[in-house]
Amino acid sequence: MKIRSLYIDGFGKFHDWKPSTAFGEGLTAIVGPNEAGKTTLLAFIRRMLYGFPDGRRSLNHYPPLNGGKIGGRLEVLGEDGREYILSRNGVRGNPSLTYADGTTARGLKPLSLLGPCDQVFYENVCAIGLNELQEISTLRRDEIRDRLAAAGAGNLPIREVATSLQKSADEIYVVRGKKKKINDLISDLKDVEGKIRDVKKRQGEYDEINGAIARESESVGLVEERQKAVDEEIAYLKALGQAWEVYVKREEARDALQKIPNIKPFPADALEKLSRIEAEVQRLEEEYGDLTEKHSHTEEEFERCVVREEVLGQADAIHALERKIEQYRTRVNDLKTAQLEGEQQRANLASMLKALGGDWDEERITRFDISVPAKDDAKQLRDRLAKTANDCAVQQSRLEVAETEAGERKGSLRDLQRRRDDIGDVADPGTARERLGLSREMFSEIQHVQELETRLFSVRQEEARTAEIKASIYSVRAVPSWPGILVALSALLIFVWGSLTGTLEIAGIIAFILLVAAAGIFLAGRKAGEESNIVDAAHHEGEGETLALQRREIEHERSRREEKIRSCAASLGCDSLPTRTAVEALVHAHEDAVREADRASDLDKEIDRAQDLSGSADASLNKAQEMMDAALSEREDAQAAWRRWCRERDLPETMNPDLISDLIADIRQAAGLYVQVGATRKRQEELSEEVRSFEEEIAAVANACNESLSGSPDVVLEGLIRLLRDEEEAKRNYNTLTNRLNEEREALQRTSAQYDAVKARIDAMLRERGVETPEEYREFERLSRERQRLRGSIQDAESAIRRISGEERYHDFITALQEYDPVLMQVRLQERENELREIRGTIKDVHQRIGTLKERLSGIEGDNELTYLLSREAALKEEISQVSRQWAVYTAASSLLGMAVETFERERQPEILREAQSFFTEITGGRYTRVVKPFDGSEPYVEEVTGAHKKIDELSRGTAEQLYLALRFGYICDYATSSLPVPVIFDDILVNFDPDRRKNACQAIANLAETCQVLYFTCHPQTVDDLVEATPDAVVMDISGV
Amino acid sequence: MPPPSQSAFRPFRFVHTADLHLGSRVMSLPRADQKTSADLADATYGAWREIIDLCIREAVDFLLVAGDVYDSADKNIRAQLQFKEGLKRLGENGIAAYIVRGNHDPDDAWSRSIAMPENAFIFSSKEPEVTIHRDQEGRPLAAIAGMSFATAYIRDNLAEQFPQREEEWPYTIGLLHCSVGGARGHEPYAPCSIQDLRQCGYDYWALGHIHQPTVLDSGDPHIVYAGNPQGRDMGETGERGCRLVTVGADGAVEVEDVRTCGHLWKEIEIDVSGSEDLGILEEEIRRNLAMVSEEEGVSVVGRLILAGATTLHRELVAKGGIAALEDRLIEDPPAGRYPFYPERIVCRTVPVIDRDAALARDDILGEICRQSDLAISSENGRSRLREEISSLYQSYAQAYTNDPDDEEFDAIIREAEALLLSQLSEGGEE
Repeated sequence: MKIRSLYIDGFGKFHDWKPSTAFGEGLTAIVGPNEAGKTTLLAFIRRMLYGFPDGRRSLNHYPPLNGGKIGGRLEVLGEDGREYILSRNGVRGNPSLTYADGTTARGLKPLSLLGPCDQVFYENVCAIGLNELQEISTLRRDEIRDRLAAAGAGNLPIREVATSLQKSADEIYVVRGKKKKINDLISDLKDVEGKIRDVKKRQGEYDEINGAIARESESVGLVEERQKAVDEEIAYLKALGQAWEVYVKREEARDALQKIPNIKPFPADALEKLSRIEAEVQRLEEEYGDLTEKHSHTEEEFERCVVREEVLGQADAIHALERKIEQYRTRVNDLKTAQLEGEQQRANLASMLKALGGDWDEERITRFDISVPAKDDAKQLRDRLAKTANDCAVQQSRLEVAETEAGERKGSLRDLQRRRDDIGDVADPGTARERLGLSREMFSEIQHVQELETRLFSVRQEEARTAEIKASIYSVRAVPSWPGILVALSALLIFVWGSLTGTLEIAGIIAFILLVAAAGIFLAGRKAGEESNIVDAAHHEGEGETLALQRREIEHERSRREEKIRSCAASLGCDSLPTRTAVEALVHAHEDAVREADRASDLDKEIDRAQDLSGSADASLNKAQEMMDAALSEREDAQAAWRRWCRERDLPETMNPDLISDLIADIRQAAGLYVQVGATRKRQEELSEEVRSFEEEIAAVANACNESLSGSPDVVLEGLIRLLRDEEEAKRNYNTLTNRLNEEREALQRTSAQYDAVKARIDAMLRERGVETPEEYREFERLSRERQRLRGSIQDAESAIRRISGEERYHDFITALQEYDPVLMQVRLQERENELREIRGTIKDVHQRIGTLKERLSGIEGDNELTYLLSREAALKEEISQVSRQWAVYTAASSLLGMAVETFERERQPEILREAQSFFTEITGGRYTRVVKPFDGSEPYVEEVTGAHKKIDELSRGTAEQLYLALRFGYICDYATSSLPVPVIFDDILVNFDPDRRKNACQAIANLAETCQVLYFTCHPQTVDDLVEATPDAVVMDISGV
Repeated sequence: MPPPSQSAFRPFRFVHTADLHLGSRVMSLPRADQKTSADLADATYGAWREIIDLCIREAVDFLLVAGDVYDSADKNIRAQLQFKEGLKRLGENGIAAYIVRGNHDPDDAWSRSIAMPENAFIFSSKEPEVTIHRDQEGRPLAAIAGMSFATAYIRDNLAEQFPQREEEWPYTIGLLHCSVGGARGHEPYAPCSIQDLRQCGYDYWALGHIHQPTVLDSGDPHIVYAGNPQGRDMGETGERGCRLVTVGADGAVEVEDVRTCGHLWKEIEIDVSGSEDLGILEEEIRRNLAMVSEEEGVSVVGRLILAGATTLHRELVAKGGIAALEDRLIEDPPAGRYPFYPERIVCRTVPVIDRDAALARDDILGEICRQSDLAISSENGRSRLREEISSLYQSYAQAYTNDPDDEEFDAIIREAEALLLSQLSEGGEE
């Protein structure tokens, strides 16, 4: 099938478009710059062949941008030699196939024009994009090998698919593989089967356990009956034991009752009443005794009580002194303090006078003027001395600075004058610049003159050439006849070769064609010579005149400039027409002169400025000297004033004025101290007088009280105060004792009367019971109570025995108790209790066994694990079956692929390799001659023209790309030969090839185009040139104007 | 034997069930959560409870159980206790139960410790017994003739041993666990023919053994397999339940199917031809499944079979599309009034490739088609592939796998071919 032309209704930028030329049957180069619409056109052709993808696919759908409905027509030439039109209208529209005249092509589907080439195959085989080649340079060696292998086998991802299938199968199962899915499943299944076995085993024990429980239950029934009998016996024995103690108490009570006489009962509170009256009697006796004793003590105390009235008479005087005693003590202490203070002040004064100097005493101190004006005088004098000294120092410093500056200015001036002397006499800058201008102008003119001479020279040469042409214009050109001869000679040689090889017929035809060609060459040469002479002659005549005019203008200009040069030379005093070199040197000399003149002028200005500065420095020095003298004179005056001040105050003239303020402070302090000594002495005298007067008052009171005066006055006074207090207390005590004696006498009389009344009551009670003493009364009352208690005990015991025995068995119980032996009974009880313990142990053991069995039983009954395990087992078996099947599919697919590849390589690939080999040789410019894939399955290789072999992974990237192309071409070629040829599409695949490789590849494409239609899309005109060179009848379709 | 007088019948109802297989395995689902797994495992018990509830709700006169109450091989005590518990409930409601043993629960396979309640009548395994069921006033309602399996492997024709109907018998029912006419997929225990059954002159044959609910004869007499009341795997798909039989005073018999299964197993084929997007396909599947569970009105355990030519074939088969789809359906089950549990997704899709065109080609794709045809048609081509895949079936996994038979082997080869064609077409787009 071949595409003749197309029509686009709407697709991307194209609308209602048809290429201006038809596609070639062989190679068509579709050229246009970027954005011209090549990719759109390429997509259009592909989609017209295989349909427009619907909107769900994430592709560029090229919606019509300039109107029209997506779709169009392809005009194709079928393999049957008929022309068809394939139309598609819209994404969902069905394609239609008609003959060129519009009649429907019945029995043919649109895709049947393409034979078995479906879209997958088409994209894999018949369309080659630039990306495929570019990718090769990014692949690893082994990937390149796979890619090349795929290129020779329809570009299918065989290696990837084989690997993926193997991987999928291996994940499930591998012979001797571990940790595979199937192993895990089988392991899980075995685990579940084991658990099921265990559960089933347990379930099988159900009846056995039930039987065991029944047996155990029966045996425990018998034991429980025996337990009941023993329990009852033990209870009887224990009841007798309990009743025995009560019975014994009853018998004892009965014996005791018989021994007590029958006495009339006493009231319940008889004893209490007796005791109460007895206690009252005793209390009254004790109270009377106490009162008697107390009264005798009071009387004794009254007799001992004595009061001193003379002391009580001085009570007011003592109280008055008591109030002033603290004041007295304060005065005594103050006096002592004043004495010590006076001594200290005197010692300090003596010490201060000594510090002031030997000639200082109290009188001189009081006389010395320490007033504020005197102190201010001294301060002013001291400040004046300090100021004048400071002024002198400042002026001295200024004088030194002025001297240094004057010296530096003079040095600087000398230096500048020396540098100016070094330059010597030079011209002024104005003159120097003027001369430099003249010399530069002269140099410029000389350059112009030289340029004019050059131009003059070329014009003269041109004139000479024109003259030559004119001279030769009428002579006839000799046309070379050697190509014609060569072609004729070739014809002869081919004729001879034909007659020698027996192909005279073909050789004759070729020789004839060559002879005709030789004749044509001769004729063409001759005809060319005769034309064109007349036109040239007229043209060269006009050119000569123009050149002569130009030459004259140049010569005039030259003489004008030479005149100007001479004028400049005269101004500068040079030769009349100096050379270019001399003028150049002159320009340099004047440039130097200008620089020297500028320097000298600058130095002169600096010297003037330095002289001014030196003069002003000397004036400053003189002024500083005068200020210095004035400061010295001021200092002398100040010192004289100070000396005078010292003399006036008897102070040495050499005294440091800074110390005078300290001296005045010391004198003031000493004078103050002297005044304090006087005041202290006066206070001492006042205090002594006050103390003495108080002591005399104390002595007077002591004498009045008949007390001695031993000890200090305040001790004596304290003794008096204590004495007064004691006597006042004695007086109060005396009064109290008198009152108490009277009260005690009255109480004694009252107590005696009460005692007599109580004694009469107790005697009456004893008489009532016919007893003499209270002790007898009490014994009678005790015996009466004992009788009542014994009767109660007997009744209680009998009730208790009834409770234990029950009313019915009471008498039997009493009979049994009468014969009861506690020791024998205890032994019997022990025996029964031991038996009961054994029985209980047995029952407990049996119940425990039954409990364990029932627990197992309930475990079995409630077991819901079995069904779950059975279900899990079934699910695992199902999964194993599914996984195994999946593995079988992967493995079968893997094997099928292997078998298919094997067959393909054996039966189809040799032909493809042969085709590819010729392309590879073409593309590599003959460097490689063979592409070999050995039948023994070893690595494929290529063979160089030298016979050397290279494995695929030893090829350079570039060669690998070339081999890739060759294999693809080979496959296409083989397919086109063995099946229906279809148009192949190349999308600028040679863009990265160097010019030589590109030329070779174009040749290969040209060869391919002999087998099938090739549409080559490119934006590179050079590629188009190469394609056209390789295939002269190639169609070039330029779509840049769309 | 004279036909019974139709007017002699008194109206009554009974439920016919069989093959309870209590506590037997119910295929668990991959990655199902714990509750779902437990629900499924207990599904047979649930169905038995449904039957008891039905009997009580409908106040039937008696229940017929035609064998295989539980799988004695499992010695499942819980199953026997649950059965007993159900019968006890019937007894409490005054309903009798007539039971024969089947090959899975023969006479010698029941626990001696579990005594059946008094309302349960278990037929002898020595010879057919006939018992008359009476109403509360003591009037006869039905004669029931039955015989149990003594052991699991009964190869005798038990039906032949059943007595001829006697004149005084009221509506007569034969109760038997047997294989009528050698049903496929079931062991031929107690084999008999329909004729053997008809010859007895009974009105209704309540049969057990065949799990697929089947009516062999719908009148004169009724010969009915109740089927098992709960499907347990993909081999037991479709509606499962018991038969509620009403006998009118005129002798008219109405047999009603009553669903007892809590989970219905179903195979759902979805045509995915033309699907190009996995997301859209998933939505399509979800819509389908929601519709199925809505239609069934019960929780459905389904096996999805995707079929048709689709560009998604490669995505589904070779790129884990099926597994991803399964994951999605388990994690986010299809919305519907009743739950849907995907048992498995089986991919029977084929790539969108014109196989005839591929076969016509000289390239490797064509070669694959030719080799696959060869493997199916010629013994020589077949043996090589057989050998390749036999390594697994002869390995340690042998005990757990079955060597594929010829039909299965052909299917494997076709799947392998489709897988290759779709994978090799990768990248074949502009």
